[in-house]
Amino acid sequence: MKEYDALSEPEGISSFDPEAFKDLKKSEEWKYDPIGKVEEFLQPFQPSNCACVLLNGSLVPEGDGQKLLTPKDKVEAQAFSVLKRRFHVEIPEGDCRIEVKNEGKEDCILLSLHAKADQTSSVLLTFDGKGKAIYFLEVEAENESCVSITVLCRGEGEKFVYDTTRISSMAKVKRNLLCLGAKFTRYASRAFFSGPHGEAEMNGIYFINGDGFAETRVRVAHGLPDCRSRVSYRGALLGSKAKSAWVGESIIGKDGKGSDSYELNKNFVLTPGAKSFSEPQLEIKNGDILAAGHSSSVGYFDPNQIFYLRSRGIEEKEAKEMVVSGFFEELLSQMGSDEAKEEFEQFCKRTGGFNGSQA
Amino acid sequence: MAHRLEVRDFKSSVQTKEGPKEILKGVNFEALSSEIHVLMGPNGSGKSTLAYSLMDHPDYSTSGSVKLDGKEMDLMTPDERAKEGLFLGMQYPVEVPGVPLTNFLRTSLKALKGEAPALRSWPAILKGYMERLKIDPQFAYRNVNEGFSGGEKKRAEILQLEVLKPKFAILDEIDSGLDVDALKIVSEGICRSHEEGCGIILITHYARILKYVKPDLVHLFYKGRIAMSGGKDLAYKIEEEGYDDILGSLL
Repeated sequence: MKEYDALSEPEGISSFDPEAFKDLKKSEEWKYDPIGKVEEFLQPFQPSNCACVLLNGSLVPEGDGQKLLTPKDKVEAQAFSVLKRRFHVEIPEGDCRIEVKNEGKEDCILLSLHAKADQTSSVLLTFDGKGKAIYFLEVEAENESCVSITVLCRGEGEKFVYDTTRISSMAKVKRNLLCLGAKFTRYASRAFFSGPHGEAEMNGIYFINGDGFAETRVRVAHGLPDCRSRVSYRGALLGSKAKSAWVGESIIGKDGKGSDSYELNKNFVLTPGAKSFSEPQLEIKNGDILAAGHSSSVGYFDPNQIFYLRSRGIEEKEAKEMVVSGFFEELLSQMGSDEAKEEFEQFCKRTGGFNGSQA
Repeated sequence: MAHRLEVRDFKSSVQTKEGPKEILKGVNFEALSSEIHVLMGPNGSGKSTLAYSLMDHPDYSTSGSVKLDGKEMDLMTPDERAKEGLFLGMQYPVEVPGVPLTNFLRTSLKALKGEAPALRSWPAILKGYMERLKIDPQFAYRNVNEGFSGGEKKRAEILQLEVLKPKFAILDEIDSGLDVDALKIVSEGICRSHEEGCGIILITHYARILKYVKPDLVHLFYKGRIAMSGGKDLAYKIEEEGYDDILGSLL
């Protein structure tokens, strides 16, 4: 674990001791979170053992999954200290579906996924259920593997997900995240390279409605040479009390010669009053790289776009739906997951469109 | 039967930091769908404001009367005006990311005609329209105006005009920025629409388009109203003498 920590270029405190971290209310990392909503996770708690893991519909027995990185915040360290159940899945060649559900009281589990060298796989992973949960998701992609993992984060239950991906030499990993209609979700997605010439593509969509909150923190660490990463997240907020936060960190370490990284975050505020925070960060410790950049925006409907569509006979509500669908379309295509696309369309139907009038 | 567009004492103002600023100060004109009207005028005279205000752009507050076939449009939204048969071809067509041109046009047709064209036959129909305007058929699958050159955007506007078949089209500087070949193609599209019964109100700075699009009436627009009207000779006179000389005789 020490070796991986070094490769992931951790900044700040890393510890298994929850007391090593500052109080959340004083911590920079938690400045966006409505902490009152998830108070119980901030205290030591007993996992309920209600959450379960299914692989292609069959229950996965408890196993010996390993945590890849030392916790980097208080909630993570606290949850790990009470963690009892771990699950391990050897990702099969081809397509598979993994379901993680918690319909009971608050729980905490660790799920590790492993892709062997040279294998090509596509995984659809759902975090579901009305129960609150903290999930550790540990993904390892060995040399020259090609793995796509699409995570659908849904269900009423408040969720913390600490998601770490290790990418070995010449492996290509695509991580897609869909976080739709969350009440409270805090998703920390970290990727690091354990060999040169690895590739990470991290895509994400969040759509917050009502008084929901979602925070996604994406960190890609280029600790080894000639690796490539692309981060692309888009979000929309419907409802005057909806709130989102996105923090993207791209870290190019001193051994990250030849790195190529770009991160992008775009946010669409559909209802006045909704709040969206976007914070791209770039840290470069080696000047001999191919490229590093970022872009971030928070915007409203462009009245000229809506006028253009309406001037062709399309009613305002439908015009707005077209604009919002178009906003996500490019990223959905990039994800290349039919399930993600279907999930998104279903969600849009359930919420009754994006006309921005929903308070 | 020809359709009739009547504009009476039409005023339009825009909100500024100093308060509302009146741009149109009482425009009056009447057009039949069997006619081609050309609107010329110096920069800042209010030609584009007239085009956008007639289509109810949200930046403008208007008063007066706009009737299409006797039906008052003053309180209608842009989509309602489009459904009545009004079309605005824009000088700077807007990009709509993520919305392919083919989907946009099919949705628009459904909104205007109450029924979308059959999915099976639609691609061939659209391709036919695109070929006439020498637009690469692959553009149908590109997002609306996204990455289009200036000329491609103008051709896409005329494509929409031909597909949607309005009663009246207001074309705001549809000829600006076009090379000679593109100007001819765009003009041919305008003439085809007109032959099919669409009235044309063409806003332009240059008489060169009038080589292809023959106007019945030319209006000289100045300080928010029509200052002078005449035949196509007026357009050539403007081009030869400039606005100052012609307007000077009026002032």
